[in-house]
Amino acid sequence: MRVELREVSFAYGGTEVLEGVSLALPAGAITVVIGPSGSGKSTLIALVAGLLAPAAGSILFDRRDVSGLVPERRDVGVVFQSYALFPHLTAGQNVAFGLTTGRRRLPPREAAHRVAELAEPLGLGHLLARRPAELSGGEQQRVALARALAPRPALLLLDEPLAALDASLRRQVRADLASLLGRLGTTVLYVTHDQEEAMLLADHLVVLDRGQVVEAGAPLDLYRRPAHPFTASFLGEANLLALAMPPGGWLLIRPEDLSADPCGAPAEVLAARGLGAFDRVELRLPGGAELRAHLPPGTAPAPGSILRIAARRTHFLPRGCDPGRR
Amino acid sequence: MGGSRLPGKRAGAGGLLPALPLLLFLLLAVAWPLSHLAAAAVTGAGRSALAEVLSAGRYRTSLVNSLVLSAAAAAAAVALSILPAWVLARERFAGRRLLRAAIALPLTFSGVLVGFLMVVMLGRVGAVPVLLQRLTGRELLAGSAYTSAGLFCAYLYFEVPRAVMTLEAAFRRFPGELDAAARTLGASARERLLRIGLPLLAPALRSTFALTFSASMGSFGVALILARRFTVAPLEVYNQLIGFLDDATAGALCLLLALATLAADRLLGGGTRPGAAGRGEALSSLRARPSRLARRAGIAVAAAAAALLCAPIAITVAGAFSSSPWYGQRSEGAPVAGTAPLFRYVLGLWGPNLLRSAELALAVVPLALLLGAPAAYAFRRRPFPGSRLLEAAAVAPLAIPGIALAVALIETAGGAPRIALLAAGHLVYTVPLVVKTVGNALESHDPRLEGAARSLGAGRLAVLARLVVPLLAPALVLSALLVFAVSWGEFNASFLLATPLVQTFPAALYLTYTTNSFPVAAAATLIFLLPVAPAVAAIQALGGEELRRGPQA
Repeated sequence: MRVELREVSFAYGGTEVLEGVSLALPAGAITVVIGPSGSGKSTLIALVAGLLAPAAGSILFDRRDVSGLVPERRDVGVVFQSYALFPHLTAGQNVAFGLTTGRRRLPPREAAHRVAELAEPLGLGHLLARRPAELSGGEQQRVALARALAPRPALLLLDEPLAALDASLRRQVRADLASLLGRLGTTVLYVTHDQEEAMLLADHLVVLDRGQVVEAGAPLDLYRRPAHPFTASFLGEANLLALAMPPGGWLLIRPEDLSADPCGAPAEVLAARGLGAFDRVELRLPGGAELRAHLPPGTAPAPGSILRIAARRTHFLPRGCDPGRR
Repeated sequence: MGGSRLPGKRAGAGGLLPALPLLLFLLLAVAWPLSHLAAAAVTGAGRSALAEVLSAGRYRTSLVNSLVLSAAAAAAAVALSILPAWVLARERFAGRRLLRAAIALPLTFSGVLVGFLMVVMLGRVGAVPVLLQRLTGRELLAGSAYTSAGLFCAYLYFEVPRAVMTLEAAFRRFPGELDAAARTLGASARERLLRIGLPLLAPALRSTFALTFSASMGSFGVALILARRFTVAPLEVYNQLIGFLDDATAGALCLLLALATLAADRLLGGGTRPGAAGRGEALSSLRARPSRLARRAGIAVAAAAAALLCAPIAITVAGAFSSSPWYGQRSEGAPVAGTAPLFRYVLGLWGPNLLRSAELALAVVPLALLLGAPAAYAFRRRPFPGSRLLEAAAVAPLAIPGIALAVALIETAGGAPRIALLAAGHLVYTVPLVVKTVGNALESHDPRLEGAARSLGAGRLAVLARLVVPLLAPALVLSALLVFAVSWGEFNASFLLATPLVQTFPAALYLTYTTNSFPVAAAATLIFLLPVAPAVAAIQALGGEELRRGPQA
């Protein structure tokens, strides 16, 4: 199902949470919306699910305007940030909930079959009789995912589904989630503030800031050739060198694109630190501009020495593209 | 090294010291008298009295009447309170605070005041029958205040505010995300109510029923004014004690009353917090959106409830100023045609009682804080073996009818100075409010704050003075206001505990309701309300949901 938002706005308590947001979710693809906290990501999910009504604009599912449609008729599945599992029901009853109510109701035998079918790949088989309070965070997350998927929704919405997990678990669950969502073939809208998560999961990436879409595109394109400084610095570490000559703008150099080169520019090493996978080096160019470089492990020179460096890849961001709203 | 211990969950005996005064108080003022009451009822004369009470006859009838009427009124009160509580908890609209305060005000009324308000509305020349006669020309409902239906209405009058406050707190804690999740899974409004709302709110509904049922079972003041053609158990206790000097029968009845309310509390109570899933606070703006019509209807019902609760108060207060013939003679005792002479007359009559109540409240407020606050701190921050039990024991007396406690206190400590017995009776019903309020406040603060202060070099006293007390200041102010409101309105225990010479102001209200003319009664009622109304407003502003444990009716 193809989903489109046209000029959607939403205000809560007098402040604009979303301002004229337009975006399209390609059918069957994973669209990740990334933005800092407070950028309106959760509100976006609630609007698409129908839990909130837009103040202006329209939301289209396969060209059909669903702006006035209540959530129970939208055929979506939602994984909430807090999971919102029903505390008085077992994990199995939580998963079966959407199959025993409303328009997507199934006969009891089919519902039970569907629950078992979902439980197996998610590793929930032995947990179905437990209540949410008896499950770990990762288990709760999988129950929430199974519950959202059970009625085979045309659109799956995930609101920072990994935010409540601790870092070591998040890495594992992230990989599992990526392969699961990839196999699913459903249209997915996934919001997060985590850059790695976004790069790993997205077919299509949308950058959101302060209630507005900054830019959208393929994840690697946005990483290498962003149009806006915000995108450049939010999607990973970035050296943005301001260019004084007209028309003005910035030169983007990713730290991993810098390398030692005998023909390169001389730079003073300010600090160096081995991080295991690479060495992080702080440099100062003769003009005073400071750069951060990621060099192969064990190759960082001592602070105070001079290192000649060159950039493998640079990208120019003209000033005109800077969103003037900031 | 004591200084290295983290203030937290570890059980040690160090917390016993701050809780020791509370422990001694509970042993002396609750455990000893009540166990004496129970022991007396199963031995000797008490045994035959208990058998007589349980056999068919006047006493058993009074108990059955109390049980049936209380259960019916509690069920009706819970049903009537759901919509107003939901509206107050979930909707924002102009006048919400005022509406809430109007519904909460009757929580501070003693039973005699509630009984009097019922007479004002449904007595022989009550406002409702008089109005109906003007409209229809026939005499309808006159004197119905004195029937079982009148008692039922009176029970509703003090139960609905209790139920609304309790349910509102539960509804406020209900995680809106669960409703949202059920919607996205396709559940209709009806199914969400049946499969999510009711199962999760059932504990709150049950405990609200237990609270209101207990309030009615122990309700003595209301029956004292209204029960003429009908008898209920607390009234029989009073009759036996005062009329027939039959301590054994009174004791047996009290024991059964206390057992019934404690059983209701244990079996049904203790579930006002629906378990929240997960820990996210995300989508806090996400609330169930009722249709505009449902919203308006809910607000209208809440406003109607507030209006019904306030109508008799307004009519009564007007009686202190109006010379309308309906209010009866204004020239009782002295030439008191004007308002100022009327109030002067009332103050002359009941001035000593007013002073007595003020004195008592001034003594009880600091004592309750001193007994309750350190113990609450110990329960939350320095739990010791048995501290959970002690905390439960501190709160349990709320479910014991005041008249039963008064009888037990007189039986065991009748020789003590009456003012001490009065203070003990008030403390039994006010210390639990302090323990709960301070305990809830402590729960909302991170216990690690104290560890942080210690790590910054603050000693125990400095932590107390510079961190704990300032953090708890709002809760302490709130506790003091709650204690004052309850002490000022307490009648059931005080009436029996005080000798006629040291009766408190609510007892004076009872005397004035039964002997004086309406304008005098109205002026006395207004004097009673003057400190209570601002206290209720302040309590509401500070978010005091424990007001639902106001003085017993």
